[in-house]
Amino acid sequence: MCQDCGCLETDVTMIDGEKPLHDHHKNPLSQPREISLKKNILHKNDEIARHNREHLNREDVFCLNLISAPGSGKTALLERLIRDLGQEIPISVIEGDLQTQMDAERIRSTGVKAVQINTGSACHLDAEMIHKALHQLELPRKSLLFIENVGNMVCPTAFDLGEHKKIAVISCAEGEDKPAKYPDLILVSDVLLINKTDLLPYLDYDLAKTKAAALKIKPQIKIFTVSATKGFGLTAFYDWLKSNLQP
Amino acid sequence: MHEISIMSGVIETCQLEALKSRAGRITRISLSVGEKAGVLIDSLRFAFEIAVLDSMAEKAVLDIEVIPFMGECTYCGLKYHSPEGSLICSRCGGFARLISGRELVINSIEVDA
Repeated sequence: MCQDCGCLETDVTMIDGEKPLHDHHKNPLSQPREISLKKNILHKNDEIARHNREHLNREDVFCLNLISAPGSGKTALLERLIRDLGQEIPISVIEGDLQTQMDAERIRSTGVKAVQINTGSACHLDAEMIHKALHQLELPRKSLLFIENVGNMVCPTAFDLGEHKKIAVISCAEGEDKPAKYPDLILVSDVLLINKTDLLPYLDYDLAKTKAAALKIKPQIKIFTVSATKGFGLTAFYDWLKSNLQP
Repeated sequence: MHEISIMSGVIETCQLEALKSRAGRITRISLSVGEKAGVLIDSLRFAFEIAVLDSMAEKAVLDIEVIPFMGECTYCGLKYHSPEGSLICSRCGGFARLISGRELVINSIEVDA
């Protein structure tokens, strides 16, 4: 009996007069063959990301992808940034969360356009989700677009969304060993924002250690130490943002 | 757990290629995964078991080749392996560029008629 489908392999005729022929019996001596692919696993995502980036370039929009653990202050940072820079530079936001519209509503209450993506159970945003969100946004020329990724320091690092720069956000309250524990995030990021520096007097935290750990993984990474709630250190970060908008 | 969506993409791509070459089923899938590609090999294997259900790769074997994270120093030229994923040269402390270790590649598939 055939191991694949259980049919009779011998040349018999069934009750209905049909022969029990299946594709794999037509050539019983066929050998397994190898097909070389050499294809990037995320090629589909990467193609859509490339398309997103081309679209953003055409519209002259500078796009940043914020990646961090939940609770590091990404949304608070954006609220502050919109209040400080919103009059000067048009800003749009794409919010990623598993569920709820809460973050998009927080951003909208500052008067800025925000699209909320709910990933359901997915731990990261992908390029296709951003592509759809871009169609819901009218992006002014010479504007900034922030993508707030799902709170997760691992999975979002693998997915190119079409952004121009990735920003890792770590808060002081998370401990100084974060960069060493999550090297993938540091490796793919262009900028590291160390947030919640206003809490430093209350924490047993060595800022220099965090910086050294990040620079050990990626010496080229730009580091800004900021407090989104108190506004410390934001000017340097804003200057960096503006320098990327220059013609 | 983005390994599940990564693996679903792998199976989708492999099925498409198998259909293109008029194969009946996929018997082997070979991947190259960088040491610092942001995925766990064990999670990939777990995701594979789920992703192959009801697909042409249902009985396929999964081969994963792990590519070491290698840097090349821009000062002294040393090529070095860094399991922790550091772009600082292990000899002179200079800035290094990434040579390998972030790959996520489908190398080949083996198919049956």
